Amino acid sequence: MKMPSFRRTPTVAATVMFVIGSGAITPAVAQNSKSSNPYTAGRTPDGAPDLRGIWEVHGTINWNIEGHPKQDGIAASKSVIVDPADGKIPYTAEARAKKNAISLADDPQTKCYMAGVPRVTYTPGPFQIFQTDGLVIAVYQDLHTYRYIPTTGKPQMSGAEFWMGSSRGRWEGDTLVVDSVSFNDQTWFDKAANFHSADLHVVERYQLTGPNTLQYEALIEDPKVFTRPWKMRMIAERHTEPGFRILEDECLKDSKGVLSHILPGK
Amino acid sequence: MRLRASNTVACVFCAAAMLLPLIGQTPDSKFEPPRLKDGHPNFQGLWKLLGGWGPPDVGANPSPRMSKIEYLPEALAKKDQMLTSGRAEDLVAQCVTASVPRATLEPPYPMLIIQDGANVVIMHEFAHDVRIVPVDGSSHPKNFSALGGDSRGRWEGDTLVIDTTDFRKGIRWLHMGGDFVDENEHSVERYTLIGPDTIRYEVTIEDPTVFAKPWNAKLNIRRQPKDDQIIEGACREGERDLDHYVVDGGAKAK
Repeated sequence: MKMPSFRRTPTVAATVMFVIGSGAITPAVAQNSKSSNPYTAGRTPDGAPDLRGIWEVHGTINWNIEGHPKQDGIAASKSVIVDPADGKIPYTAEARAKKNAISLADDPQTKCYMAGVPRVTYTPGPFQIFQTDGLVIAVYQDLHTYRYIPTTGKPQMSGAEFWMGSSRGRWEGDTLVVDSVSFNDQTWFDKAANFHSADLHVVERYQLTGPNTLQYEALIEDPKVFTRPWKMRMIAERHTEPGFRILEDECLKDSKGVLSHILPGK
Repeated sequence: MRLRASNTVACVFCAAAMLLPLIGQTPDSKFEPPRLKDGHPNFQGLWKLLGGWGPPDVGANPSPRMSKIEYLPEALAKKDQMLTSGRAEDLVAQCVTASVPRATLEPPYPMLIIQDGANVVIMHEFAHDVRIVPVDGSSHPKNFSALGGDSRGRWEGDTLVIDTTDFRKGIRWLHMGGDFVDENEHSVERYTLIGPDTIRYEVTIEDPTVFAKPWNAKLNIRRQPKDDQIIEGACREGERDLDHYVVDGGAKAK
């Protein structure tokens, strides 16, 4: 797979990790836009920052990440894009024209395909983060999609394309940074046909801003489609209801062949 | 990194051809398992069934791997009907779910097990089936039904016992050979580490509206190479096999 030239190399990443680990300085790459985050995460039994729990991004971001008015019974939503400042996706002119020509009916989510990254995060429904030694697992209720995110420096899978990409994690202080590559070009960012190519590179940052709030950022790079990297940010809230669980979500065809999501019944 | 090959839907259907002899240890083996900080055996890692269990009418039945399946008369008629004209209804052919216990019994797909103290999580590669099994002493909920049922775990010594019931109404195929269960399935799985790289897996399945009596299977599950990882089991995405079922009326699987 051809790597975009601006992608950080593993060597550089490893160096950055070492510097953070030494505590000598705080490199620029570790600085969040909320760098003065006062909240310190708890620790798992293995000593990692504890992000475990069931989380959900509420709202209607999935309809259009650039924001949209209230329509068709769907509540309005502001753009979740924080960079660039205008909240718009920096498409190339060619990619913008392509986006405008896509039929919204072709949304891969209507076929119950895996949502892709980062869309799976703000697709309606909760997700659960599990952590064991050197491994983070995210299980999303949407179609029981899961992501395997080792934090041990295991090399990315390359040479193949995946709906959810290949993901590798690392800790920058209390922030989980997940680097994902090896995507296919079949997933969208939302129902508004915002799209990417197979050169998509996503860097997500998961950071607790309180005991029950998880800030989520996704830096998107794809030089075939966008003129520059861009970033979205949102908050996932912890489900604290007693007994709350991730439920089975299956897509089944009705007698007319129409697919719909089926949750557990009585 | 090396990718495992042959993760195609078609290979689910090769399972019958993958019957391999079971050479193996038994739960009686004296093996001291590695343990987590909470003291329970550490089952974490990537695992895959050794060989396949396959349709019992293809392999020996009964065999050392499984006891004989005895159907109620009306269920046996149902099985014949399913094999003749119902193949497209198999939820595995539709890429929905393999459910319990097929997801564990049918290779070539591996599964990843993690334990967080409160849950044992089993992530299957096929159709990215996930089971989040509480091992916190909780019981099955009331008024609940799902295609994967409701699974609750408990420890009996060093054996992880998973009890699954509360299935959604309808037929679920157990493999391509037409053996099936319905919503009254109740399965009890027992996972025991009998060596550093081997889980002894025993499952007892009862279903009073399908089987004349409970039956069981006993198989070994092998740890996969350290550098392997669970990968994405896309199935519905780009699925084509079901078209073949429809074209020939479901009489035979191509």
